[in-house]
Amino acid sequence: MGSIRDYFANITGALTTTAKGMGVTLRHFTSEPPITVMYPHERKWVPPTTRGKHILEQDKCIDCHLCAKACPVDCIEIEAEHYGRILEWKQFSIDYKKCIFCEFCIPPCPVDCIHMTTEYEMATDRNDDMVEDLLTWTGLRPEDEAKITGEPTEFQKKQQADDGGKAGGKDKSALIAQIKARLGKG
Amino acid sequence: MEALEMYAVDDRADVYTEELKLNLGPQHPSTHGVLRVELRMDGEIITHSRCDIGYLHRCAEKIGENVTFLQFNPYTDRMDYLASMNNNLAWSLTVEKLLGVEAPERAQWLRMTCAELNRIASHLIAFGTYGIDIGANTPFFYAFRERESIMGLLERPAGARMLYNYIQPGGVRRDVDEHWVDDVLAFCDDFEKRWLEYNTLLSHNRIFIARTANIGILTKDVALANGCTGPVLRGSGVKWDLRRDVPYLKPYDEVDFDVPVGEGTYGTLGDCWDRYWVRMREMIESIRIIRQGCARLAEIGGDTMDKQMKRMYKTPLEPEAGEAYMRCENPRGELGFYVVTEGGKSPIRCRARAPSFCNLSVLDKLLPGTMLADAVAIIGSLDIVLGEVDR
Amino acid sequence: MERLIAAFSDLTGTEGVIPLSLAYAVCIGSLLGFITVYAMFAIWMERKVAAHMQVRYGPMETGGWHGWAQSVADALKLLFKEDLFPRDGNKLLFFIAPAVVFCGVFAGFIAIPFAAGIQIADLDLGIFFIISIAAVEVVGVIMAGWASNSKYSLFGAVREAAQVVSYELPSATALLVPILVVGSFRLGDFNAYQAQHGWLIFSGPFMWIAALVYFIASLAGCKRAPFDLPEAESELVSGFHTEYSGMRFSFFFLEEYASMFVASILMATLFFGGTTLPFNLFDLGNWGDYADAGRLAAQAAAANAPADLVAQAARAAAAVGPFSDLGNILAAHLGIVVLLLKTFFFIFVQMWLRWTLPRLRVDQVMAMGYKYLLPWGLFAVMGTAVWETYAA
Repeated sequence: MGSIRDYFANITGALTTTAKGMGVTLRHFTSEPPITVMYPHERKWVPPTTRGKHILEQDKCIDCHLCAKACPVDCIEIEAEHYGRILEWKQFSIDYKKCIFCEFCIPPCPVDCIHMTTEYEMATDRNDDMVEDLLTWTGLRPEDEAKITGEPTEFQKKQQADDGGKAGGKDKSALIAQIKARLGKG
Repeated sequence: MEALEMYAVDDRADVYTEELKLNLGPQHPSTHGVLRVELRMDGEIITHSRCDIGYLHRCAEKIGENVTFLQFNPYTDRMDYLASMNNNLAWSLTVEKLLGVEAPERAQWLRMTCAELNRIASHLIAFGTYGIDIGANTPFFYAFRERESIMGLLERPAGARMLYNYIQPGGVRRDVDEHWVDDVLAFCDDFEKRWLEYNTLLSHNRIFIARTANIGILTKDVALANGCTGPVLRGSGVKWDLRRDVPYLKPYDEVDFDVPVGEGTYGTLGDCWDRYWVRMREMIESIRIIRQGCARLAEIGGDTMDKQMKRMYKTPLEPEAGEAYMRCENPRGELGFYVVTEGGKSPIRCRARAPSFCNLSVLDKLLPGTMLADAVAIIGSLDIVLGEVDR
Repeated sequence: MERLIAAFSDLTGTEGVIPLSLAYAVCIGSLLGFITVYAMFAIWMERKVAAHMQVRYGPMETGGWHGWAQSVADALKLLFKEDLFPRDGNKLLFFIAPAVVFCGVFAGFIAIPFAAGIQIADLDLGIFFIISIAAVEVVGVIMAGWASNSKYSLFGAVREAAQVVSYELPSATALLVPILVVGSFRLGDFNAYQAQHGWLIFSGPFMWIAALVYFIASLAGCKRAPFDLPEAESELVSGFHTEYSGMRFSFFFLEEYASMFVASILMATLFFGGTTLPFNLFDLGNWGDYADAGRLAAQAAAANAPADLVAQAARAAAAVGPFSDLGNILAAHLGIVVLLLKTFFFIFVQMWLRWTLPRLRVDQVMAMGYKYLLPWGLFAVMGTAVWETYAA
């Protein structure tokens, strides 16, 4: 039980500190602009070092499995058939349900073929979508097939006739160049 | 305990009340995760409490015995997920001690600066969530605003916003960019102004003081006997800080900072307000350390990773048989890693001494005799992270 | 209300039940509509106020401009949610509790004068009625807490009972002060008095204390921070409505905002001039009465209104004939705007406090009520009594 002085000190203390606190909130209400970013409409700048989704330069990859071994959570699955130095790709997938984005798969690569992009949006409502296949093509490319067998295949001939011999699959070389430029800057 | 006797149930009376068993958690807004506290209540008064932990147990120590020394580094991120840098630091120092290597000078200063930045971020969460526990929602958002700046700063060298994996055995992952030091200094200037605002809004608010002063008094003896460390111990008036007493990084020897301890400003020494206030003042001390660290970082150059250690990314580290224990002053107290190895790629025993776990052990001693609302205040003032308690 | 009955009686050409029920329907319907729209706006406002105090934007997407339709969307969502019921709870009590809670506040709206003439019932004991009918809410809250079969709900309900019952004392004591000065319990008289004598808050040194005590006590009555113990989310999850969801939950929400409105409009009416502007600019308080031909003469004599305005009002009243209420409404709309602006200012202050202050503990709330607010309220009553006798 406090004294009479405490009683009045309590009242004045409560009123003054409340008023001061209200001053702080009012200042924020009137003069501080919101700092939140309206996410889907605008995005925050992410530094080039950001550890996001992976990207693979498949033509460089030699199927050495060092990245898979370095992975603490075993989320990289690699499968390929070797014909000398030519690879028949079956699988190079990363399970993003497991991946912890630790970046340990990047430095061991002897040919510097796996990179991390700044891509961080991977929300999905399907489990299967979380397993990302990094391959741009599977099996043997026609030109590889040609190297093994020594002559162009039917398919390759047809394709050459169609589009001047461009390889099938998605073209990610532009993106890779962009990432390299940014990494170089950082 | 006098309070307990005062509210003891008298079942000889004609009309008597029964104790009510209340489960606080594991799904509860203010148990800071998945802590479950079994309370026996007499009205609003707690007569008995029992902590139940383990809801977030992820076998971190066992995982450490099955992955390589380097691979365990990102797992330490996930123990005290609010202070990943400090966890990385503790683990890296343990591995370095096993290997007998030392990080280059620039890496050491970077480590210290980043760890102190992360300490501020962690204390900001403690401050913000403590406000929410007491019922003030707004400080939380102000704290997150500043934490956001820190995450933006740490994201630039580390590449991630929360689970950095930046400090690694042998040094740090990569050097910072050229503007980083200036940006950190700018943040320090801004933060000091904000810090004063926090105190106007919350620390010295009469209601806040009424809710925290004289509540959950942790005496020096109890704190020491239970192995409390960090702000919980310092709040009870014990001046013990590993950064000052056992400098585990060379720069801590060179920088100048104070170790704030509780003084019983508004009540008894070792109450919730003291613990809270120690955290608030530690932020300012961290700012002092960061300023000195930045000044040095601007001067010194050189490697950020030991040259010999760089091969660890390709071939796993294989320290010679032996054991090592290394402890660091985390935002929540002393984080220690004890590692025994027989010469393989992974340790045969990996044990973490988690500060939150030890600090939580005093909860059952503090709760009886207090009110339900005080229970929330006390849990908040211990500032536990369940990821670290359960590991 | 009587005039509405008369109007319907004239319109339908009947007496008795038909105009009475029509009038009831109109009153209840308009009140319900008003409360719903107001609550939606207030919830949106609360979110915006909170957001901007916390350097956020708040709702920005729904409806386009600053997320104005967010509350509408929330209301629709709550309407369509499954009606959940806790197993082992008391089903009957669980279902009627939200209605009881809402009724208490809803009934309070009956006696509120939005402007002279725009009032469902100008009760002789209007203030007394509002205070007492609001206490019914406690019954509903205890019902909800008990029927939920949840310990957190029970804690919340018991806290609410203790708190609301305790804080009725200081709030009623503080309301005695303006009653002492005006000498009436009728809320309409306060508007008239303040139109003549200026705002009550300036009438004597003790009125400030009474206003402060009433405001703080009304915060506790509305379960607003720093007295939001019954639903203290960091301790009791969500207090007495932890187990409620959907439509029934929305009733508790409506009740909270409606009681905020009642407390704020009482504050504005009793202490801050009601429908009048400061220094009685434009003589707003009397406009409604000018159009009312019946009370015109007495009012004009009392207020010394300009003769030409009186004559104009009399002509207007004569012109609209049986629809004199319509004339009233048109004439008084500016007064309503002034009153609502004041009300929303006090609602804003309530929000402002909520986003600034931490929460008190249950024993501190009791101590505050009995040791601080009640003595100061009594002090203000006695001081005003002395002041009115000797000084005024």
